[in-house]
Amino acid sequence: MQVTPSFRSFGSFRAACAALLLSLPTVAARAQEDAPPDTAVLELRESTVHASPRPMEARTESRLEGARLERRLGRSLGEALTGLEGVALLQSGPTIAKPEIHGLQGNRIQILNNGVKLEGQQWGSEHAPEVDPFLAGSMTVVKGAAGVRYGPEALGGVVLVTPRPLRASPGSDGEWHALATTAGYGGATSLRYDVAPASAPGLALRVQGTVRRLGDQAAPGHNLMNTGLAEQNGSAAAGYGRGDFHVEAFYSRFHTELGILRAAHIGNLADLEAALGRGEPEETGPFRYAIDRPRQDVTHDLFKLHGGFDGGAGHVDVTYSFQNNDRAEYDKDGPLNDSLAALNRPELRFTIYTHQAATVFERAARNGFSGQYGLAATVQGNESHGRTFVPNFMNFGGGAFALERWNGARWGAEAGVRYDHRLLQVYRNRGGEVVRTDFRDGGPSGALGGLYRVDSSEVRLNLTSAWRPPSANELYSNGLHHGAAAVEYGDTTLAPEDAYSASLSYTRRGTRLREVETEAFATYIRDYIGLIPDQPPTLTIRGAFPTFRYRETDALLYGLDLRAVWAAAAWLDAGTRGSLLWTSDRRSGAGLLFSPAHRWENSLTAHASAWRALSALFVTARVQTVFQQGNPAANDYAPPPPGYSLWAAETGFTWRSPAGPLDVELQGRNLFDQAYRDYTNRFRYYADDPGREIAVRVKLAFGAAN
Amino acid sequence: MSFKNFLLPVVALGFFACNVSDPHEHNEEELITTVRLVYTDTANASNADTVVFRDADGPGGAAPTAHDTLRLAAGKTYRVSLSLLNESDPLDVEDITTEVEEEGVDHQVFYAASGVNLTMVYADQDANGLPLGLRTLQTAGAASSGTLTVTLKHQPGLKTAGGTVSTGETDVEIAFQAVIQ
Repeated sequence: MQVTPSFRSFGSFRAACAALLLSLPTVAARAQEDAPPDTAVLELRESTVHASPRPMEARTESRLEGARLERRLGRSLGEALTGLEGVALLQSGPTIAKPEIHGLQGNRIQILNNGVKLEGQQWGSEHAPEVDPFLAGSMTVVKGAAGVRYGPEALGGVVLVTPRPLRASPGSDGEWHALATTAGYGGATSLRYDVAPASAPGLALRVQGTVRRLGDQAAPGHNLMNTGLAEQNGSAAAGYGRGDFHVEAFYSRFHTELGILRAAHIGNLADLEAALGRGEPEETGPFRYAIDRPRQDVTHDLFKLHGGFDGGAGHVDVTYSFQNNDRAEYDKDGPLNDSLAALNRPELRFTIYTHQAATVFERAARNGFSGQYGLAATVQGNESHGRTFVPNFMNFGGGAFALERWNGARWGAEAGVRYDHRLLQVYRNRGGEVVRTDFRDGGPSGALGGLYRVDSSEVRLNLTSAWRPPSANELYSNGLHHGAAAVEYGDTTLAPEDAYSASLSYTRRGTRLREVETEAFATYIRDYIGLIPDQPPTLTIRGAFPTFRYRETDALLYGLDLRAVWAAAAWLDAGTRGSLLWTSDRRSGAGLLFSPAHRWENSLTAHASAWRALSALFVTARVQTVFQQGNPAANDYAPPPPGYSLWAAETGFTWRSPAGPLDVELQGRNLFDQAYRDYTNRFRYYADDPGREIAVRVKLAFGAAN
Repeated sequence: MSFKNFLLPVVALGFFACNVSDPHEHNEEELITTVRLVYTDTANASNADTVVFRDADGPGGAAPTAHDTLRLAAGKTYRVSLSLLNESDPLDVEDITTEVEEEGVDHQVFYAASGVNLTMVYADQDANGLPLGLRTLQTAGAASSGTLTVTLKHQPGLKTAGGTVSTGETDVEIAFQAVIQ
């Protein structure tokens, strides 16, 4: 396989894999979805600069980049990702959003930030990923089990957040983004600056920073008390390349302080029932920027060193990374004792650090055959303070994989295997004595794929497997889950989960029916670890709480994702996209916890390539319909909320300003101020989702293109 | 977080090393583990009953170690005082009752009898003159049995004369078996 020097990208080998798809003609169309053709063409030109001809992967990926990505910037990572079919949000009010891929989230999907597996407290449904979306040049989602390339925990899918490559040519460039919104009367701004000094050939530098600040959001008719957030992110990168060799260093810090809807912290089951009967929270309060209890304060640091070498036999990549995640959670009420209250300590605090090392060798293609072989190792330490929810632990992991590919003129195939081993050492204090318990798990992952392409169509079939060892919270939870009104118990005898996925996808591009992308999928998870209701209720000083235990069952998830763009006229595009998903616990027949309901979106976009000094003008109207969840999880406190339809509109243009191209966009969401609650918003028991939002987004690109 | 902290250099990361292998004991800062009600006959101080609910390790974990039944004499009126304790460390028992009393304007205790013939009036007030419920007068009627549910509500900014047991957030809710003989 020939890897061109342009592959000397900012990201790791994973970034390269993601960049691969760019070389395919389908992707040219893919960038267009809602974007007017002008911008899409512009992006394509930009993209091809760093795309190199490489063998095709059989794996199906969905990708968000260029204008489609930029229009979603300024909000959370999860929200940006909902631009892809099959991705939904698991929310805890307006400030906390986690991406769900085909109904799975948390420990079952792996997020890679710049090639590094993001390691925080991802098990928590109210723990949002610590990633600045403005870092991304592209976001890619791999749906279904992807254990071979990404190891355990890539059981339900993978999110790749990939920065654009550092400069390959001397010069400087940058981007400024800003979003101002009425949802919280605040916004976000981000600046990136890249430079490659002519005096030091091969050297490239980048600095980037983002600030987000929002006050309380509002549901139709009332304020959502304490739903503001303040986020500050920064990153710096340096790369050096000479001949066949390159190195990069990257550091980023993510810091967020976020308010949690006051009404969502409740004392006991009777409080929850009172909240359900209320319709509107007991406390709404006036709009404020202040972030009070209950709140979270999270800092995530990531440092990465990466080196690569291109030889005749292939390409070698080596990556080392270090992450530290510090999460503090403050309850609604501090201690009654004045001196304790004055300390204002979090009731719950976790610090987790992670070292990762990985190396990948990509064998050069010969006679259509190519291959990838890799090794990965992880060392992780977790420490808890305050209320004990998850114990202290050390986690040691190691894995090796091999992936072989064959590419013919029309047919392609790939096969891969991987083995991982994990040692989890849990430390607990039992009456002053420290007790260590070891858990050893190992397991294989596999992948088998085929693709067939003819003219402008492609068919891909993938059969994959992945496994996941039980996490510390599933083994050891023991106590009241505040805000969930449940007492949760772990089980130290849990076995790992094994997932098997099958997917069949079809993509086609054309002139009139510009683009069709569809994927049918099914995942079966053996020994799926779920929170299963148990009897009797647990008696506490706050009354009786429902009891839940982490238990094994078997899970089946299947569905269909579809996207199509039809050019109704030279100036008018009609788009449709939807995700259908069915999930079930095979032993009880009930749905899985937090499974998103079916959803469908239709849009119309009118566009013009130029008008006076403006270019890439467009106006889009869209309506998204979310259906009622037909198969809810067992023992929910409230029935699934009814379905709803939300209208949105966007309009924008590009102005060739003296400083560089300036994109201006006006966005309107939930235009008719519809009151609704979403099934996968954990705060649907307490309050409506936010109402109408009007936002203005600008982007200025300056400097000489790379 | 200050701007200075935000700019903490990368090298500092290496020193974040924590004490994973030496976990602290359960150290929730403020836990109500015990509710104690002392009933004293207004006519005869030697006629008294004390009922206790105790769950020393907090919600979850080990089951509560005490959950007494209240036994009162028919036709008597009792002076009742409520105490809230943190007994998670037997060597350092904390009385949280005074903290609740100090923040009386944000708290109220509710007593609800079901099946048992028991009526109550508040015998204390917060700084705003609204009932608090740490001290009450309770009168036992005819012989009967049922439950008495004691609920401490935290009602920051929500406490009014018309407040009910469903106003605010629940800090304590215990149903005691109650018998009037």
